[in-house]
Amino acid sequence: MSEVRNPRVHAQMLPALAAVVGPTTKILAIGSVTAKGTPEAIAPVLPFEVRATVRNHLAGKIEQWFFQTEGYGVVFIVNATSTREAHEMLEKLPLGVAGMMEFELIALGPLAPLAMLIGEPPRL
Amino acid sequence: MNPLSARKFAVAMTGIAEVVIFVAALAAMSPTVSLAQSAAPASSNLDVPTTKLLAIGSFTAKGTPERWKPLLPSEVRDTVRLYLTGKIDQWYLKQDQSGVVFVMNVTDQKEALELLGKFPFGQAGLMEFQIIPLGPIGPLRVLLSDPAK
Repeated sequence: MSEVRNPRVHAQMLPALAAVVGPTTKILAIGSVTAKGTPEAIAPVLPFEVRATVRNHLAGKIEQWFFQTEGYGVVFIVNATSTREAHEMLEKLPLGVAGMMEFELIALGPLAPLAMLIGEPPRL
Repeated sequence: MNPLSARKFAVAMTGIAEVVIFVAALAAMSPTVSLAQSAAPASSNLDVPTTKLLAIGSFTAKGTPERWKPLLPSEVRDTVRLYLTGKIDQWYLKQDQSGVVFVMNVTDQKEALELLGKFPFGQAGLMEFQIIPLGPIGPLRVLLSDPAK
């Protein structure tokens, strides 16, 4: 869940891109069940998990929620400005507390290269 | 483990988990249903249609700044064109600079990969997309049958 955990980063390109600055406006949270999440373990927790998720939605924290239709899991788009902030919220969900669900967190921001269309090339 | 093989592994694992959770969720929602009954596809309470696709675009090892910078203006234009056709619902830049994230109004993974593969980065092999099919948050059904807690 740390900021450097994303395996998709190619470190060799980071220096060239370091100048690209944009605000983090959303966190993409891809939730997957862990090995501990057996049917017996999850069943009694699920009703609480759903309710906690709805509360976070009503609080404006989980902006969008989806179910992964292939392979069990969820996808949330979270209103948070850092993966740490999103992690703190998601780890409190019952399945997270029980170690039965883990989230891959990806910090998102505006599509900066769009700036090229208004004559303001992104600083690449 | 490289990112691709890691993802394949994850997909394989979620495939296993799918069956496991499907049964678990049914058991939670309807405690009287036996496991044998709940395994019947027709009784799946977690069945939801695929309504969107999450597309996570990541630079490949080939996708160095020297290679993608000259293509960026046309990449941006193609992205906007696809948005204007209604196929891209939401677009984001990954803050770790590894690529983009789109939520697409497309339900066919093959179609999505074909559309995205026509972009300059895709044509040059500089960016690859991982597709995750999305649907309504199925577990919400729990609220329809359980008393309020």
